[in-house]
Amino acid sequence: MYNEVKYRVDHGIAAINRPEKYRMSFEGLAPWHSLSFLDSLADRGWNFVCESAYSPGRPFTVDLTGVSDPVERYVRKRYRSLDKVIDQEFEPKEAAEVKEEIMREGSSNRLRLRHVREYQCDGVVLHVLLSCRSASSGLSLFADQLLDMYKVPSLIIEGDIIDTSLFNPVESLKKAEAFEDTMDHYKKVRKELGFEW
Amino acid sequence: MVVAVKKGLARVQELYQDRSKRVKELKAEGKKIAGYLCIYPVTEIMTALDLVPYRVLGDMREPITKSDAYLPPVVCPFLRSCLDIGLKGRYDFLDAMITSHICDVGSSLSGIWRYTVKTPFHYNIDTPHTIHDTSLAQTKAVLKAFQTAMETFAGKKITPVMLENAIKKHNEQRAMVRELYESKKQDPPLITGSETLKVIKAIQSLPVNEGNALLREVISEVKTRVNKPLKKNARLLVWGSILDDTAMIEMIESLDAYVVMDDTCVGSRAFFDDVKLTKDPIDGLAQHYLVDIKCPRTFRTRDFYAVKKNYMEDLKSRFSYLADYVHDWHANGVILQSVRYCDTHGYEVPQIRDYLKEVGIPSIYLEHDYTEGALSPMKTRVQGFLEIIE
Repeated sequence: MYNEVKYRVDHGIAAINRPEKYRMSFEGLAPWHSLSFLDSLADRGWNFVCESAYSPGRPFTVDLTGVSDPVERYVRKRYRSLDKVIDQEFEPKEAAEVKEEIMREGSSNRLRLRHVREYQCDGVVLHVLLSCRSASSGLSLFADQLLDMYKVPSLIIEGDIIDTSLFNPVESLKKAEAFEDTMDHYKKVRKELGFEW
Repeated sequence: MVVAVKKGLARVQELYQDRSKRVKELKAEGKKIAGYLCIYPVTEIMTALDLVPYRVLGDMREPITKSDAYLPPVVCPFLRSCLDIGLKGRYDFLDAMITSHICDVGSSLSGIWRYTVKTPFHYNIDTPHTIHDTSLAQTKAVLKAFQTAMETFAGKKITPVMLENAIKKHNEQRAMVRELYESKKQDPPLITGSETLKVIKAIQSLPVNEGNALLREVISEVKTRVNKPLKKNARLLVWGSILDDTAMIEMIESLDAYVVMDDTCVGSRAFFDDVKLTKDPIDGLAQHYLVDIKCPRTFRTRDFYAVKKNYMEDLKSRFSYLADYVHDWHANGVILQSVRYCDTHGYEVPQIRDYLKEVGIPSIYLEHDYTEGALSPMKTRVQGFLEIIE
């Protein structure tokens, strides 16, 4: 699988096997019961280049010399302090700014939204789940912050992991079609404002 | 013209109708007002710093219009209401907003409030959800960090003596609330459920000294009142999630019933255990706020490490205090209630019902959406329940 993906990367072959029109991020739990919906979006050139629910953090080396207890070794290796994450994700100058922002504001939009910037997304799909309030309750604010910070719009598609009747792929596809105009508009806005993408 | 200062239940009613009036007066005098969500933020630390703790609540009579932009409609309507009235400026007098990890949506609300309402100082206490020894140790560390942050905000340091004195004042308040609840053991109770809720809401809108003074007046008035509540057939315990408006209690008490006891968070839950005075006051506070407060947000089981558990023994270890309340307050039945989408309380309901059934206590479960309109259909169900328990 690695070799296959590497070949695609080396030869610039899009994951969706179609010309890429929009680079997308997916927020929230995937609609496992209706993954073919994502194929419908792929048909329109929507390439989901990243998602935030399951993607692992970047690996980093932990100095475990002097730690002999196997449980402690496991915990130290697995524990991702916020400091380490920030140092990994940003250049030193920006990492310092992000840490200062967290100390001052309690959180950092740059940290939370970094994957959208890194993957240069044109839009984000927010999958609001009726029965997973843990995953869904922060999504509206996420959309607000994303538009404010990086001028990237979000599309809310409602559904549920358990009750599949709550997910309407036909209605969601109609919303997606209309959302393309929004993404096109904000591409121009970002260009005018001098964003990288 | 000199306006007579109201006392006792009249003062309670005044505060119930305009909760923020007194704290705005105090703010004008130079006091700092620390808003707090839920009963997990440590009010003793706020009092020790001479801040005025002020419970942030919703308004079930205010249509939710602004918070839908930040919280989806399928989350707790109480929290949506709190955010809504925060966005509408009704909490603009707060100098600080203290939240804690009450539930997942509550945690989201903490960040959303910080970003949108922009109370000048904001802190979230990351209270654990289990009562292991390691969780208790973590709670102590978390509370020490909270204390440090609040000291920075207030511009002064707390000594252990200051904190101990604050604990004593709050314990005094807890003792008086329990004394007030004792008066509900009589038949008829000397104070109705609706009046009790107003008292709790009133004292959570005042500095602790003023709250204690008000409680003394109320207790004295209740014990000597001439126009006592009339006798009714049913005596009920109400358990569940936030009830910060008298509407539901009034609905119940409009029938042949009194709410003589409760286990809710604008009710007995914050007041029925004192904070133990310990050498390091933080130890007593950690024990109280993590272990003693019996809210479903904290996971409890009879034996964490048991491989095989006895279901009923486990339920008994978790809920026998409810049976004690029913017994001590001579209740005929229990109304379990929660707001819609409150997973924390909702998941608890089947097990509480199993326990109450096991010990022969009738119960009914009502789910509502934190609006007055939700109450009418419930009245019929409560009426039916009363007929059963009679």
